[in-house]
Amino acid sequence: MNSEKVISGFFIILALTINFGFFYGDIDAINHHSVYELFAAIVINLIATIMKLGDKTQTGSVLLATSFVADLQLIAAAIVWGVINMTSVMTPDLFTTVVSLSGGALIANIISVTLFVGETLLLKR
Amino acid sequence: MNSESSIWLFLRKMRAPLIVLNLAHAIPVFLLTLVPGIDANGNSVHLSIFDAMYIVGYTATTIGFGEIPYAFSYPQRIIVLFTIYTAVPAWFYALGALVRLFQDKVYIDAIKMNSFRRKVRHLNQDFIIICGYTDSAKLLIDKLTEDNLYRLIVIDKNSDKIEALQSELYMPSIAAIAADASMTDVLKSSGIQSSSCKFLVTLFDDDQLNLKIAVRARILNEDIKIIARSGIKHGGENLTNIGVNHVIDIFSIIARRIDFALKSPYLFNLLNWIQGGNLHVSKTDILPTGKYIVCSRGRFGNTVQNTLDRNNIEYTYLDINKELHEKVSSDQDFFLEAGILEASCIIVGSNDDAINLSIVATARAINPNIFVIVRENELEERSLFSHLRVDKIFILDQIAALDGYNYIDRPMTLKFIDGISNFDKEKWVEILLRITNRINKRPKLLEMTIDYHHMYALAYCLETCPVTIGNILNNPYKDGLDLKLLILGIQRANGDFILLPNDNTHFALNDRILLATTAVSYKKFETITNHYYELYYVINGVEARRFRIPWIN
Repeated sequence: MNSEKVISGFFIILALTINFGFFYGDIDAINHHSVYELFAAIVINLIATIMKLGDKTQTGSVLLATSFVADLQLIAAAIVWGVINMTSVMTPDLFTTVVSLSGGALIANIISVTLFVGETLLLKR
Repeated sequence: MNSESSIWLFLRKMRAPLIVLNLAHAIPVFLLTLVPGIDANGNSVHLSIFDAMYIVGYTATTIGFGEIPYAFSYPQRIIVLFTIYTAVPAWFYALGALVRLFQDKVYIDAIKMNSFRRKVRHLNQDFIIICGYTDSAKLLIDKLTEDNLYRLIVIDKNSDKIEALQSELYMPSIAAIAADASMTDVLKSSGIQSSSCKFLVTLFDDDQLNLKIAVRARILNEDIKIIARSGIKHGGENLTNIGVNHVIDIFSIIARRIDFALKSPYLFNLLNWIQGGNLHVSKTDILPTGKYIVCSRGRFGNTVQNTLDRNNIEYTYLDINKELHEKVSSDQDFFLEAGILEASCIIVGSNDDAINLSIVATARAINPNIFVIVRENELEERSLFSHLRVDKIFILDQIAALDGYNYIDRPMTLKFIDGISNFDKEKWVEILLRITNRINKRPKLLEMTIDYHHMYALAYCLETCPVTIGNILNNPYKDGLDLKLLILGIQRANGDFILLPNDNTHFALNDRILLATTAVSYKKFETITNHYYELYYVINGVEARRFRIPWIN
């Protein structure tokens, strides 16, 4: 067992699950989506990104790229939410933007986990 | 470690500080949003995530704007206190660790190596790799930069030397890197596998190192010409076997000079001129006849002894070894025993300049008229040696540098010297006088190719009509003045070498010519060979008709 793999695997998968937790629910229902979940998703995604730094394999580079995409989308979602709160009132219409941005990040995280698991399986053979 | 992997290692090392930085912000933000505060009206409110981030941001960086937007409640202050004692040290740790990583020598070296590699890649000209920024390499670089036929790349392990090189501000600039030239990676980064890499020169004093570099270079690129310095006769053969094209064997060069000097001062002078001197035969060029004393040891001693034996010179050999050091530097009797009073010439050639100096001083003190030939190992001792007014100095670094330079920029000089060394005594005098009478006592020596790139008009003209050397050089402007230019050799495209061609020799396209000239005459020669109408006048003695009027002839 490689402890580095355990830690990075933990964060990569946690990034996906938390992201999914935030995304899950009606797209325009504000009470289905917790702000803390978005916050946690951003923090965990950043950690996952850092854990992928310095991996010189080809898969490592693609993993890092997917993480950057997820970070970008989640931070964009948080900014949209914050700006709306500061300037006007959040409506279900506006809220769909936030959730759909996090949906994009979810896709990136799914790709990331798929690659991660795939690489591990290939190693086993 | 190679630079590629050190970049990755650097990124991995960044993980810990970055994660600490991340968590040090995330946890306090989370806690701050959980704990209730009280607004101006006494209502219980929670900080938004943005407000919490704002507060943690200025607290962690010790900026400290105060309690915004409302004065904190006590539970909030507990959290802020926690933030101060965790986030602030964490921030310092992470920042410090990142700064330290950026200052890491391995990382900086890797960055330097990358920028060096980029420079080499963007070099769109033929270039030469020089391994080792030694004294002789410096002389070689000066010479090569003057001619500017190739761009240069320098590798040396010592970063101080590389900095010294960069402070010389050569034009065009020289790409240099502080790295071990005997490593395959480093050689690859220096572009040895590129087709524009023409030469590799390795001028270290260490024969083994030169050998190591030469072997690797030959494996990496079959086509480049490798020039290596060697101090051992035996090592020289070894180097040739592994594919070194030109071995700079300083001791045999010096032996050859002594040999030439014993044969004729004129021949010596011609060789001396090609290796950087002038063409003036002075009193010190004439070696005395009589008994010689050789103070030397090892391989230099052996080469000198062989040379003297071949020329039937009677000599006493003093082996300067470790035990004799004391004696040599102080004891006059030692030299008297060796017969210094009867000797006419002393050759001083140990590998220690201090000992050489003391021998010269002692010898001169006993016998003021003795002819002194001395070997100088370090360039810095130059002023000391010239102070002693020795008759002949052989400076190892200079000889090595000029030999390498001749091989790179004007290889025909080597053939020229080989050619004339077979002539007899009268011929040497004649050649020397021919050059000095026609040009001057310090002619420049150049090598050029007759092609469309270098001599447009001449190349164009040679397609249709024959041109002889005399056509161009003798009385070109019909004013009775010849060009102060002499062609010493022609290398035909098929490999034939014509030594000292006479005036009726024809030029041919793609000939390489070796010429001795002055700066002014060379300018004129360039003008003639590059301008069609100029050349037409020089050959035919009349102006070419610029417009052809069809009905008049």
